[in-house]
Amino acid sequence: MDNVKVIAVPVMGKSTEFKISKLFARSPYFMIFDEKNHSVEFVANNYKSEPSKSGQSMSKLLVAKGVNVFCGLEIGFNVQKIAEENNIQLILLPDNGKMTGEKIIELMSKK
Amino acid sequence: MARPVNPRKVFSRPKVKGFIPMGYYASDLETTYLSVEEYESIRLKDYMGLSQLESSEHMGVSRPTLTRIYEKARMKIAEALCEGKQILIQGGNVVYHEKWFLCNDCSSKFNVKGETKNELCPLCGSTNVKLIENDL
Repeated sequence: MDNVKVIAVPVMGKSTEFKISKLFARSPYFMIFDEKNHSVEFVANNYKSEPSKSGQSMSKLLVAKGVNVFCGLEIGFNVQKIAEENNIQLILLPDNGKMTGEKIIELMSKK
Repeated sequence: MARPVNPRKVFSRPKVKGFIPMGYYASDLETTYLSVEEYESIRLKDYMGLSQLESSEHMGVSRPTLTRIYEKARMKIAEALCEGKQILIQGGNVVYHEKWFLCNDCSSKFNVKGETKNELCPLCGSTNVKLIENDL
């Protein structure tokens, strides 16, 4: 597994102040945080309203963007399958209602 | 002397330890024990929809061995359903593809594939992590 983490987090809006989405695949946006240069990018989830396989489609897009860690409150089976195939690490966050994009950046910057 | 049995490869631990029957005829005293390798054969073949050959490759066993494990699992589940027995998932000769850890500092859970040694939390970098032995 790579040492430098590029982490994808499902967030409710296009800013680090928004809360983490409860649903990974159907989240409106993804925050991609690159640990190396501390860059933050927001990607809109165009697959969120797809009737099925939205997790697979979105996960493939995130993998293509160089993400190597999926982080969320819940990660579905289709996303897990893509993660397994692409050697992506999974992080399940505690569902305490306090997690925001900012908090994730703060935790990752502590290292 | 019989050849020793090779451990079967399992993707991850089952999410629950078992199932309890409900209703008037439910007998929570009688238990059917499903091994982790039997659970994995059901997961691969029935849940993920893989063929017997694909499932056997995932578990690192021959196709006839997979068929044997799978048939045994089906019989045990059928017995529990029809006789109202509880199912406990435990035991079996298995090795896991990945391990799950809990970070005691940020309370997040994370997976690690392959060999694990001095694991760090990928989120906060803490060394205060512990291996999750049972369910997630």
